[in-house]
Amino acid sequence: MGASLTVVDDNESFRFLLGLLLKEELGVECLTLASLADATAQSPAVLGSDVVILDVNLGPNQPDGIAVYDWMRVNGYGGIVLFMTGHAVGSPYVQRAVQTGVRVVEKPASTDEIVRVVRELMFGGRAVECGS
Amino acid sequence: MRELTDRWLPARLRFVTVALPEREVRFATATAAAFNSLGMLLELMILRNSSIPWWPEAISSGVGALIFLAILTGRLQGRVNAVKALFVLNAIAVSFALFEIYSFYPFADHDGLLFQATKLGAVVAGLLAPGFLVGLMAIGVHIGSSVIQFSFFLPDFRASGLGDEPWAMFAFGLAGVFVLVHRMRVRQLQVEAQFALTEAESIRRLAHAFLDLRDQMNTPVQSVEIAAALLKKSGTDMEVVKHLQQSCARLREIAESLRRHEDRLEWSASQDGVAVIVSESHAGPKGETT
Repeated sequence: MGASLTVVDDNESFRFLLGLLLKEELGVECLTLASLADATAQSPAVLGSDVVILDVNLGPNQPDGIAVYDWMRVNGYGGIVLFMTGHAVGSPYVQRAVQTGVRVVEKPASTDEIVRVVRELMFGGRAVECGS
Repeated sequence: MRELTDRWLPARLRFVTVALPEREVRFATATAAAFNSLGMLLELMILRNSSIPWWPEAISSGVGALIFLAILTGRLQGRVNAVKALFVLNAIAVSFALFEIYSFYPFADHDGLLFQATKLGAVVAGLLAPGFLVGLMAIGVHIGSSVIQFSFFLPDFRASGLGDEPWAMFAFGLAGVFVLVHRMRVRQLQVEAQFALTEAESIRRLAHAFLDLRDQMNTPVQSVEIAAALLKKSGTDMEVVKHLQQSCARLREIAESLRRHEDRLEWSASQDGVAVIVSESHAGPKGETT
């Protein structure tokens, strides 16, 4: 059985703290990964998650969050995706994320907002589902 | 020296100190020297049936040829002021030759028009001069030597067919100066436009770099925000947590206010923010084209 929630972000501290926050607030187990390579190595768990939170920029010379999203779609992921990014809305990275139709949350957001959005995605009032 | 004069020169007059690129200086001087060399041979053809001696033309043509060859062979590479001096030397050689030729006119059996080559020389100097002051000198040498010579001609000779002089010579000298001013002023405007473009590009790159750095800070700030929330839940000193969360809120406000300005920038390929800022800080002082 896969984790309820997967977080893919190249920043180790952010991955750890976000996973801990969501476990404390929502009671969900989080699988935290750093890159597309990590995601493909644990594809059953990732593709079995209810919600996947993706950072848009996963580091220099690395496939970005859009690439992870595309990989998930190609492999039939049917859950919900949320992009979280520290980059400006006008940047090429974020524009490509916006064009996927997936919800984008800009960092830094308040923890209340993060928890509210993830709760909304997991338990009701869905945003855009992957593949739509 | 140029920076010193630029400080007290009004902006509109800074064309006086515009520096042309070395390639243009060399090309302009070589062209003037070639014109001297070939033009004097034409003068020889014009005067071939007269009693006016050939040696002034030969000397001037030779000087022009030597200057042309010196530039062509690259001997004066990197010596812009020397090349500019040769432009003036070329003008002096031409004026000397014409002075000698004209001195024979009152006695020679030749009915050509006096001072025509002088006037041509003044206009060509304005067209080709590799700098404003150099151009003024060349025009001054051409017109000045002929005006002085004219003043020493006997009144009878001056009255016979030279009724328009020396005013016609001054008119051509003025034409040469106006052509020179126009060229240098256009050049000055081009330099200023290029500088403005370069500065704008530099500012744009810096702005992108700062925004990129801002973006890189957002994830660590987010981490601190989450850590503060977790500390609050764990019962850590509430006063400390309160200040931590207030600081995070302030950082979010700053990030939000920066976001409002980013729409003014066009985004291109991402660059490492730190590398761009370092390269801009190492950039040289304002410069003109060289």
